[in-house]
Amino acid sequence: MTKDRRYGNFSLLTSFGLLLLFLCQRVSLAAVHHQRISGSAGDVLEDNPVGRLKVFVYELPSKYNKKWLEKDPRCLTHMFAAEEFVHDFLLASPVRTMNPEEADWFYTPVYTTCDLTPNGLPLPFKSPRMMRSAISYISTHWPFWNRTEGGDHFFVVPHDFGACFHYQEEKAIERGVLPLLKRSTLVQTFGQNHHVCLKEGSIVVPPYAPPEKMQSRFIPPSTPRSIFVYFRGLFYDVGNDPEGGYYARGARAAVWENFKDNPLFDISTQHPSTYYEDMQRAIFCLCPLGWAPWSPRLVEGVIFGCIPVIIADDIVLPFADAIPWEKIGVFVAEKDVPNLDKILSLISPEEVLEKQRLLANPAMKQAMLFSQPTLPGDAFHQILNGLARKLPHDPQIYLKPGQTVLNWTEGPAGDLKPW
Amino acid sequence: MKANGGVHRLTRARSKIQYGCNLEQIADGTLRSLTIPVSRLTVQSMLCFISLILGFQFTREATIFAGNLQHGTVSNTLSSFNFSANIRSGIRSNFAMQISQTLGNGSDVFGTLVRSILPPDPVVSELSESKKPVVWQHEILVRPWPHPDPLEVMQAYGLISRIQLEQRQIHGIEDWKPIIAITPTFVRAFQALHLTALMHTLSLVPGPVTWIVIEAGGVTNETASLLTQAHVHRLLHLGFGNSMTPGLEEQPLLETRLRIEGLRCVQEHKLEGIIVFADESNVHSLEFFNMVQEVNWFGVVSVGMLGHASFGEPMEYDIGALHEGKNEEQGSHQLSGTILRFEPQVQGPVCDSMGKLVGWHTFDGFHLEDRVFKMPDKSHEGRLEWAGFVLNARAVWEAGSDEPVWLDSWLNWTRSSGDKNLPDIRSILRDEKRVKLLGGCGHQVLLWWARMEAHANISYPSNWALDSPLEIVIPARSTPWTDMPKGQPPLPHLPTPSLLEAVTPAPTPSRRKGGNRVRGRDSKLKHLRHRQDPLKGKVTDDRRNPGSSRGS
Repeated sequence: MTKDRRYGNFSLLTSFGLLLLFLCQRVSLAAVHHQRISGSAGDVLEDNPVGRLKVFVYELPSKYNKKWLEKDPRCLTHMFAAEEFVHDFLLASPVRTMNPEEADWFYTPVYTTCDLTPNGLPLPFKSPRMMRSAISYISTHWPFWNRTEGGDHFFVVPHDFGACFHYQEEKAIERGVLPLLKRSTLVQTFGQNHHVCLKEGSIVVPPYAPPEKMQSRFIPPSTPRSIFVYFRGLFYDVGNDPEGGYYARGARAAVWENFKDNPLFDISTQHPSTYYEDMQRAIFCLCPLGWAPWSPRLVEGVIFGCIPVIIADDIVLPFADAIPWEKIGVFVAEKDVPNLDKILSLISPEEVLEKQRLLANPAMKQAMLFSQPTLPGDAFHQILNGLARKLPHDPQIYLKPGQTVLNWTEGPAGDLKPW
Repeated sequence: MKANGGVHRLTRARSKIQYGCNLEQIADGTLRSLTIPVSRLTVQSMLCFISLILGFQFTREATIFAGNLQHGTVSNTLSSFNFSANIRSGIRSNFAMQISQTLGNGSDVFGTLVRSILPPDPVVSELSESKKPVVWQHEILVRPWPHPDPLEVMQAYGLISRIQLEQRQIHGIEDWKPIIAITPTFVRAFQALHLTALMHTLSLVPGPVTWIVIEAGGVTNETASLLTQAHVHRLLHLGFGNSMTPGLEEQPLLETRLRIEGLRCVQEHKLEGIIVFADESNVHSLEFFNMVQEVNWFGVVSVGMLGHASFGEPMEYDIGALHEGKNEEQGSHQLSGTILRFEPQVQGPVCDSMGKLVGWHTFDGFHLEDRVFKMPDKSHEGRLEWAGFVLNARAVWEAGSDEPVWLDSWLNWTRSSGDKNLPDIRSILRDEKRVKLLGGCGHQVLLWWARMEAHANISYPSNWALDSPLEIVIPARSTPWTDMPKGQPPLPHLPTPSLLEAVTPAPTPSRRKGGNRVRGRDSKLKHLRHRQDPLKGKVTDDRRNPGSSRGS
């Protein structure tokens, strides 16, 4: 009797297991037109940072942050608006802690890119002094800065060359990263290998692009992609570099001179009102460098499913440890620009379809956006994930009491003036 | 005096050759004459000053150059002293460009040294082994052969089509049902026009198409030759009946017979898909074939009926009645009279507010060549064009359903040639709940019906191949005109027909003995002597005797 019952139970279990297996197979065979993304740090794009780190937000006087916004609300819409939105996000995030003793990371909300010209371009001339003044404030009001001299602090510096605080590359190189930020972690948009302004351990983020503006302009995905290569933007910066050769290291000018008559290339300086719609009808979107190697075109290309063709030597792309950019985009060296059409047409269709599948992954699109309100997997969460991956801190960053490493008088004389 | 002048000239020549601050020679040369040209002095002093500056720069750079040779490699230093024009000082850059052009871009040491004279970029004050990017003016790389390689272009287009295919498969309609198009046809002048257009439309349908072409009077070579170019999944070319070219009045009857024959073919072969009555002369948009994919059993679409517009009776509306509320405000502008409004030229279903089928909108008959062909039966039902109805092929042959009964009755009607009453297509819509109203119940017209036919007796070259040359109506300019009357050479400006008629009688084709040689009285010389001036209307001798133009 018991044997029969055991056999009966056994057969019931196996049939149940087979049914489960069958169902799982059916579910997984359902149309999956996108692929999971895993970068060098593993499959971390969809990690949840809550519970993995704690961030303490310093309360700075409003002259460092809110006053700038009141003076010029354009700071919330230009491509450097990440610093404002990260502040807002952290204030409301579950990773925020009010107890600084248990915090892993410390955030200083200072809006260094909010001093705008009438045209809307940020002036970086006061930024070093502002940053210095903010650091001296937090070092005098809280003991945590002096504990590590910034080793567990992070700052958001989304300007052209990050913490070098200048828009001209030669001047930025000359200044270098602000000496007081030498030990901190920087969250910036600029990323170029072997460059003074990319400190080791920085987190590279995408430039801010307004999510609602882009997400309201989707066209039906069945619209056939008929444009081979698409680009809209300047090729020559006539105001600053009339001869050419400085702007974009001559790469954009090379693209124009070589391919302006090529029927496969839809490139022009005229910015049409159907810019976003056209990107959705294109297969490749050029993302060449400008005065700085990064550009919002990367974000736009990813959102609209257009494969980015990145023409910027040694560039470090956003969240490079979480997103395998070599599998998603096409990298072309600046010296190979005259052969761009050959390079692009020789890519096999399977590879192109693979890249499109990776781009279609909603996690990928989400990671590039600073969503309002915040969504899981968006750029804010990727920043926190990046910070969480740097934990636990190296014990060497903790200084002995009385020990100082940073030189507060280092840097150009103009920076030392109080702000 | 002369000797003095000679010495003067000699010393002046010497001072011209020597540049630099050699005051003694200048003083020597000009001791004789007190009139020193001021311009010469200023030029010389300027040159002296410039050479001072250049010498200083050169020595400074040379020392730095020598100093750095100890630290870094030669190539590093050379590359750092690369040609870097400073944009801010345009004069310097121009000067630098001139020097570089004269010296060329050779990598000789002298060239690099000279280039190093130029003030270097102020950033590069300290050099080191690390790859610090330095800002300099890059070359804009342009390839010498600007045109794209044709093979690469073809590959790019192949890539585009592959991606679009993938897009269609992912985002397009899933489970594309094959289209079965039934087309009645018969040999006539307009057949090539209509059939070619329909053929191209069906070739573009993104899915399998079975095309059933039923020809009145049996399969002919002419139609077969037209159909060879069709790119459809399957082509069935059938013949039916005797070869009688119908008049315009009998055309609808004949077409209905042929369509029912097509349905019989579907039943016989048990084809799968969606049956579309694609008449030859109809125009379909490709969206139509996407729309009919939604059909389960029966579907109705709206058909744009063109050709009725100018023939239909317009309805008159009194404008005053229309604008009654507005004229008080506008005041001065008083409109009166009637405007004509035509009915919308659409045959299609009419639904009530809940989307239920309530009735049909149709027309009185079809109009051709100012003649109205009304259907023989007085009732309206027979006048619905079959093109507006779409059905699932299974409805025709599936056993178990009661649908095929109507087909048998129709087939019986076909075989009896006497009955002029057309079968009503709506009889298959027994259960009107099962009818799918495509295109939002008549909101979208994706199919047009327009009849364009010629008279039955019109002659056209069979197979549209010309065996013999056509008659000349307008002669070419350089033709030695053999059929024109003698005495009329080819004119460079052809006169207008009215002038020609006034001046000469109509030329008649003449058959001359001995061929068409121009000789004697017909010779060209004679023509040249008495040439007709068409503008002034003068006449010549030749014109006076038209009869003599024939050589006899």
